Amino acid sequence: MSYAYLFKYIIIGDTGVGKSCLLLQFTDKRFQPVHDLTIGVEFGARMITIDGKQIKLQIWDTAGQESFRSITRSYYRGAAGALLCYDVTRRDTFNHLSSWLEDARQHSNSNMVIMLIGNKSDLEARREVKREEGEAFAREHGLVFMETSAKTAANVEEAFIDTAKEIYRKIQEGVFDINNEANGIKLGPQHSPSSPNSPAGGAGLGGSGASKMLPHKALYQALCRMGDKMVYPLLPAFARPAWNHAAGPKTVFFWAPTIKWALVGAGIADLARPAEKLSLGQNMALAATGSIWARYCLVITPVNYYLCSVNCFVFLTGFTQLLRIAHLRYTNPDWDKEKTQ
Amino acid sequence: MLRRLGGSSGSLWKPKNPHSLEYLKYLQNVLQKNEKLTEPNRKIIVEALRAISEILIWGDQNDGSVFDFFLERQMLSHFLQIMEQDTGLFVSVQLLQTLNILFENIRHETSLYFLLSNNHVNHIITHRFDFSNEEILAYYVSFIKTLSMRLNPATIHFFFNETTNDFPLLTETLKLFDSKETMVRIAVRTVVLNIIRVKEEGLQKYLITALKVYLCDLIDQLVGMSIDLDVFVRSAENVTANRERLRDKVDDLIDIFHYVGDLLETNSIADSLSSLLTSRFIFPLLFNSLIARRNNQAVLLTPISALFYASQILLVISHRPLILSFLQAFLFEDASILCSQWIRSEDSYCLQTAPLTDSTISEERAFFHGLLAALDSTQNDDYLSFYALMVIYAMLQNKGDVSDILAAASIPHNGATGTVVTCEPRIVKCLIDVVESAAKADSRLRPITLELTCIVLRQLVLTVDDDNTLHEAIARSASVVQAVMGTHLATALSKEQLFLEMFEDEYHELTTQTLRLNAVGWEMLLPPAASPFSGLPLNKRLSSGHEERVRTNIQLYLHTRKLKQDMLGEQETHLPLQIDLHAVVRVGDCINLNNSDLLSVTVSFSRHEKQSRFLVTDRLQLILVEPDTKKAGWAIVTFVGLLQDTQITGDASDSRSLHVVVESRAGIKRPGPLLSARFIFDDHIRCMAAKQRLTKGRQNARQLKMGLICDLLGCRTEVLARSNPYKIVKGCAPGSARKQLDTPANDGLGSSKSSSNSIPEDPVTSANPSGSKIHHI
Repeated sequence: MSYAYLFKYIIIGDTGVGKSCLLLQFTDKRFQPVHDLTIGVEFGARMITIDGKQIKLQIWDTAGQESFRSITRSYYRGAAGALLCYDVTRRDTFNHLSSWLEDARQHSNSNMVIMLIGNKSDLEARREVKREEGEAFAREHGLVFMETSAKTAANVEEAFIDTAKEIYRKIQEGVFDINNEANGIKLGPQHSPSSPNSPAGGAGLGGSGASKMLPHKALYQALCRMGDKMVYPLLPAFARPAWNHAAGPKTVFFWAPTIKWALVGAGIADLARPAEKLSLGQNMALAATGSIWARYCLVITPVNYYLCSVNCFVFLTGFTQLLRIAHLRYTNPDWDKEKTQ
Repeated sequence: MLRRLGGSSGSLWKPKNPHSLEYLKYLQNVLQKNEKLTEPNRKIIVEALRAISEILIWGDQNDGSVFDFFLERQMLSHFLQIMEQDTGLFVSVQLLQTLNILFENIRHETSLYFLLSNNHVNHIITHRFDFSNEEILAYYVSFIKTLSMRLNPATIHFFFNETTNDFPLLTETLKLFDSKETMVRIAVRTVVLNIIRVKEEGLQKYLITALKVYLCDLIDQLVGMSIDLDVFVRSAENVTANRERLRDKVDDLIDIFHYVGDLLETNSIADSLSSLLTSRFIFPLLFNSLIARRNNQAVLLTPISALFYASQILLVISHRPLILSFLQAFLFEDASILCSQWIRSEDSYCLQTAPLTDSTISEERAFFHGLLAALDSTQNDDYLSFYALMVIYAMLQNKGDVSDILAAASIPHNGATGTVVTCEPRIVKCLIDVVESAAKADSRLRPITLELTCIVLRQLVLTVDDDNTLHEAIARSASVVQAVMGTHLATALSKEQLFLEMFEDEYHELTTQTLRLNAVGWEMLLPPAASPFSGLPLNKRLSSGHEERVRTNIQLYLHTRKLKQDMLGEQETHLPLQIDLHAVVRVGDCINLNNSDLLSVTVSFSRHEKQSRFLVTDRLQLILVEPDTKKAGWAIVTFVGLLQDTQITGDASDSRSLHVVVESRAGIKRPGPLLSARFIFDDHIRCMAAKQRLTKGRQNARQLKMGLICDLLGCRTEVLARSNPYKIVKGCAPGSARKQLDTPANDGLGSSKSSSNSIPEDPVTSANPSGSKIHHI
């Protein structure tokens, strides 16, 4: 699956606030939340769409690694977004937020988007932290705030996607340096949508060396792209596989035989000429090249049936002319003298 | 026959309850029937795997029989069977996610043991997944990370075979140690740390040999990165973009220091790792760079980076034996301990034993002298001395118990017990030199270096014997610098229009910004920048232009002033600049206006937003009030701004209105002015009166404060400080006697000593004490 960007997230917060459940709830919808089952994961990936762009989210839970300074430090730095979670039913998890936030701010990239999540909002009866308190904390520290429930899946989508939107907005504004993978953002493998596996045509389409591209290559790529957009959709279904074939229209192996059809055309036009005006040598040469090349096309890589067909016709036209000459000379034994007269 | 049919029927048809033993039986059947993985059954298998993990966790939490069935039928072997086939992305990912969920969510010890038995897990670990796919790699890595979280002396034997010395979890992890993905590298480090932390004798023995190559690679990676960073520091210009790149490099490097620090906290490999670190990094690279070059081929760092790395080691690592041997060599040894060096070979570096050169190198305590020389280099600029200071600071901050060895080198450390330590006079002299270099005419001392010097000096004298000679010596040189800076400022004072703003800004910065050395450390690595385009704040770079020079001088002045006061144990009495603190009016106060000049005004913020107010001024403040409906003659304050920050401009098109802008004070987060509005008065005469009053009030307020600064700097000023008598009394009950503030008349010159009670009387108003006071409009 290809994507335009990959964002790396981390989830932080005290143990037991439901980070891993939140993560599983977001990344795998097939796990239905049920009352007698608590289940979570420490890692998950999911594709989302923002502004019509495919964006992959990779989410890493840092649980259990707090005792290693080196690890938490590196985690913060490698992430583009962080979900800072607390449990609305446990006051102490809310009180620890500022130390978490301080840690995150100290180690992370200054552009990291942090979202404050009050989890377990379904347990209204046991609530210890009011919604307003969470809002106030978020306002004070410039965070985005949301109350979620991994159990009822309320707001889980929004929490992750809104964070992604915020990161995406920062990318659009040019705040994030997307070429630096240390920021937790990665550019997807770029490829044009309709040429996934054309070795010859795809050779220059990596797009990675775009800055150093020579002008003729740029022209070539522009043409290819134009063809992809305008010609390809018009093609009937049976012809589509040929578009990106190794000897397809994006390569010289297609255009050389196409021009050679002119020879065939010329040969057919010659049928209108009287046989006595035909050149024996020229038509022998045509027939010979046609036959030799027709065979040759079937042994090279890529096997080029198109070239083969055009050569067959070259051979046929040449051969027909030869037959006409032979017929003339046979029916007209003194053709030689006529010429000398 | 019938019974068999009946018995198996439960697993042939899909049971309704997805959380039950029956359902697991059904799923096992599914897996059995689909042993061969084909395109059409791929989806079925993926869903079956997912459902299995869900049921197992449910079983672990609710019904023990589920697990029994899972083990009885050896369902993990199904997993292996599927894996052995060419699975492709989706099945691989699902398998790994299932395993992840299993190992992470299982709560019962016994369930975990059952899962780990039969060695299936080791087969899964060693399976060759397609790591070129980043998704599989990420899932795999989090799988082994999850496993490593489950390690303890009881479970370790499921992974580690002592007799064959087989430990696939470790060996497979180490293969990924230099992956391109940061998250993968982090996970690998986590796994290694989790493994090392397991206290099991056989394992610890095994680790010593098994990790040797890895640790060596790690240190070599550190060496490569430090050389790379050094090259960058040498060549890069000090601009924002380069500092961003620098930060990444430095952070990667410090990550390794932290990682080494974490690794050193385990018993088994601490010795081998610390000897690797000293013999491959500290001696041949760091220490070699601190003395004169002895070999043309050797790869050396600039002293800047070498000192920076040394300070980072001291700040990050607290493993006592390593730090002790580091400090021992650094403070006392000579160059004879350096017996190897790094040389460049093609694309990489290799360690080479250095030939022992002639005996000219045998200067005693070579590295210590190198440090002193670095400290002493302030003649040119403070680039190198900053990092020498960092090293001393880091020594004092180190969390290992280092006070003994520092005491031996006559460096007082506040962890020292017992006898009082003397302080190495050469260090103190160097530090005082740094302070004094601020006073030189062409000083290139950046304020941050002075700040750091002050911090180090304070820490050093904290535990030193208290006959006060040291304190006094420092205070003397501080007051010399302070005096020089004072005269610089006194000249600037009369020339600079905005001197008051600068002074108050800088003072605010100084009191609110604490120096974060772990952040500052790398920012100073690039050569000192002079232009504001470098994106550095002024205290971290050289000043350019007259105004910045003045600001720098203010910073230097404030630092030395504070140092002097700390050394002499004095209290700050003059700063921040304050006049009549208790008389400051705040928004919401109810004040008595019985004797005040009031001007009725319509404040218009925009076309739509208009408010009717009365304008009052006192000596320092511009106040807008709204009459109190209950008490006649009293009013409620709706806005307060400082007159000194007020700008007044007339309106050419409308003679009745004024544009008033009150700039916000330093330290208020909100950008933009505090108030920006059009004041519309009843007629043009009142407008003129208001303009005059505000302009005058502004002048007076500024002069008052300038007078205070003059007092502070000890210079006589020709500026005439004026004041209006205090007209507003707040907080009194209505009708009560008005609290009269006595404002004793003075000679009118602002050279008086302190602020609050000796503000000179405004000569104009005092000449006409009663008549002009009240303008009720």
